[in-house]
Amino acid sequence: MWLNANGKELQWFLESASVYWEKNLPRPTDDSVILVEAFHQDIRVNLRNLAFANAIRRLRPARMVVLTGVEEQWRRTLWSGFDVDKVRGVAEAFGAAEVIDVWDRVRRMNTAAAEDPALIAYTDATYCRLAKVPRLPEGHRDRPDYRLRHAYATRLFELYQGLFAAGNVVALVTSHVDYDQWGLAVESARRARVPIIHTQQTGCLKAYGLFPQADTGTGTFREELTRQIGDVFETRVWPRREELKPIAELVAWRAKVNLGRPSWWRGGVTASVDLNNPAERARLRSHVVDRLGFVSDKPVVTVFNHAVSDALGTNRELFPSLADWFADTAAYAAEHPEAQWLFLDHPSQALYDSTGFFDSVAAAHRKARHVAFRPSATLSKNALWSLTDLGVTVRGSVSNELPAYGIPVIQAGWSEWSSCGLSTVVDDRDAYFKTLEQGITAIRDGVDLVTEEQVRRARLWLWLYRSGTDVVTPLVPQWEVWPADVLLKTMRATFRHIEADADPLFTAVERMWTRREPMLTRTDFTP
Amino acid sequence: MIGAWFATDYDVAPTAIELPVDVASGRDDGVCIVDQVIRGTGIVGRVSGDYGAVGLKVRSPGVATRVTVVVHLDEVATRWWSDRVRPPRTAPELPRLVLIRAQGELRGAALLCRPQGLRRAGGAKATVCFDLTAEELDGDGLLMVELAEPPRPSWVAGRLAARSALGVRIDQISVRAQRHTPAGACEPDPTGCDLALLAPNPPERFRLELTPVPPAPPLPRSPSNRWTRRRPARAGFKVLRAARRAGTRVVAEVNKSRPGPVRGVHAVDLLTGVPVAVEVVAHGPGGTDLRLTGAAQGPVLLGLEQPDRGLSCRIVATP
Repeated sequence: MWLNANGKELQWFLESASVYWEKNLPRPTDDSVILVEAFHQDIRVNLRNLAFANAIRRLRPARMVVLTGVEEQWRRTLWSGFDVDKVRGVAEAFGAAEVIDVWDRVRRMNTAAAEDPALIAYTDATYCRLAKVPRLPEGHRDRPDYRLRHAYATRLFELYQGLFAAGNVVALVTSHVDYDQWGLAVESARRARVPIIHTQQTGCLKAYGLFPQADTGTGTFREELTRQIGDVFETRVWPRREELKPIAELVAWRAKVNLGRPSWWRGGVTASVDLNNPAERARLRSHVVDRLGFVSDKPVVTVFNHAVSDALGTNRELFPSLADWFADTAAYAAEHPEAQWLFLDHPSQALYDSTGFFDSVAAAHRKARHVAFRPSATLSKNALWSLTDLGVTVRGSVSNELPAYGIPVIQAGWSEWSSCGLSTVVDDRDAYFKTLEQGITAIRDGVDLVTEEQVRRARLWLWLYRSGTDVVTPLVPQWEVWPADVLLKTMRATFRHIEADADPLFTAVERMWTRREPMLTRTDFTP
Repeated sequence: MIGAWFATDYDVAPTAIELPVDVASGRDDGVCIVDQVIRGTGIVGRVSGDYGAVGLKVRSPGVATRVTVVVHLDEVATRWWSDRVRPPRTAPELPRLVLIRAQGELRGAALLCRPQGLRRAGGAKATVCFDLTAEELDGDGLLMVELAEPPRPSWVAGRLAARSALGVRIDQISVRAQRHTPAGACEPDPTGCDLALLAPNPPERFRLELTPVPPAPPLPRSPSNRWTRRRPARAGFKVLRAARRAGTRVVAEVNKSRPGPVRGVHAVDLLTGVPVAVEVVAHGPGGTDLRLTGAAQGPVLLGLEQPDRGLSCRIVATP
């Protein structure tokens, strides 16, 4: 992606950016530092980090140190086009004082692998992601590639702890909080009691923050965040539901017709929903059930598989891995013909699984007539909504989307919004299977599983996610402003021709930073 | 009840259209639901998956209705199909068989085989008519028309295209108050391939006529890498395609298929997927007289026991 930009366009962008930031950033008066990571290949991800960091630097003058680099396995699995020199160029244009090639330093270190459980957890998750496997293979501890990963994690942790040891780090700005290169930086920052800003890869500028004052230290970064997001929702958003209702309805309509979708949301014409009432749903359902060998009058439970190696163990989950959840749920489904079960694979699974996990589970239950396995894109959203009586996921976005339109969802784990009361979040495995059983019984008895309050909450979350916490600033064009040349040209116009005074980026970051709020907000939420 | 929260304050209720209905554009007011169908402007839409359905909001007339659906396999349809299915480069184009379902029931089927010309293939159109009772198009007046995958007995392997509905156009959907003649009674045209379709409730005895046709060459596939996508490469591919079409035609002319007496016919009920017994009654100069000895509830697909891509079937009434 870096390489697709026109060289001249990139050059003009860099020149205008460096002039802009040179005049808009105060000089630091002490040795304080803001650490910003740039490990991702996509320029849009790094621009969000750099813009946020500079907004903090306007409040708290500091040197910007950018962490970058690419390791061989990361390059092989994901980022074949990663170019450290281009990252360096962009970082310097944004006023970076120093760009550290972290992986270059790690390769030159020779610290032996340490048996720290936190390090092993990050190693396991990174190993699964980069090997694209749902679970660790047998005897993984003896495999040379795992041992190398483990040693790398140890060295990364040592390097990051060294950066935080001086006590002059003001903040860590990071696009990701999982896997070795990001997760261990976050771990080090939490131990050093440094605020962490987690920018999001969607919308205009969205970011969460974990400040030491609010960090209980009892859970993972995402667990802490889930809890705090729930608090904000409960105390600042839900009490304003009447005032926000018209706009929440508009966002719900836009989500339904696939407008204003997050970057990872399913696209294309089959993602727009036309159904408006139970009668239309029933008519389409009579067609769709036949395609799956189902019947209309029995409950249909749709289980949404997740990308199986995605960020394992980074939030609270009921099963040891996403694959265990999926396989165990399929085994449960095979023994429960009182419902019909549709298992849908994740649309991006090919990027996360090289083992054919979904097909292997499907093959194990081939004979069960009441169970069907399908790739996600083979059903339109109209078909999916007509079919689904109960949705099941661990942390998928369907746990927000379906309740917003009155379809109940059970979550076998936590997600960003899971403490906002949209879905049924269960606490342990026994409760999970029991909740499934109760859900099916309730559907057979014609009992509504979703309350009006849940629907309202889900629509408010849609508003909060897509509007309330999405800061519109010309300094961070919307994610869809793409390809690279269009993005660079748009940003060049911003740097050259828009005055920085009271830019929403600066005012929003100031509000979040000074009040230590867990999320960046478009407007002031305080009453 | 699920569905009660599907609408938001910003949804506009679709306007129900009055009989007589002739919908020939995906942008018509009546088209309110599409499921794996891309709406068109001059056509209702094009199927983008293995199944595709369109929902029309028709004001319930309170009487029985006749629905006519025109489906069409054109050049773009084959290109959509080959780009998604990616068949082997040497595999010839195969006929498509799609089921037409409405209100959750099978109503008919369409066999689409493009006529092959010297320079290009023409489009294959089929018109399927069926009747609905007043109760079937009641209350909410939502008429759902679906193109669906047929059952595939082993003998159709290699004779019917996989994922048959993919890319097929729905040109028009018409609804009229029902006339007295039963639907599907019109005499069919030659199918263009060695398969034929019997509409639901077929006559017990009928005649199968065979005529020679030019067989289809392989379908083009859109180039997928940056070198083959360039204009000179595409021009080259075009020349190769023309040569391949001419070559297929020459080979077919040299080894011309000769319509002889039909020795045996496979038949399958497309509603149940169950084979139907067929008996050869008589051979004549005009064709072979056949009789269905088994019961069939839905449309029946017939296929010559000896596959021959150079023959076209036509079903006519026995004189």
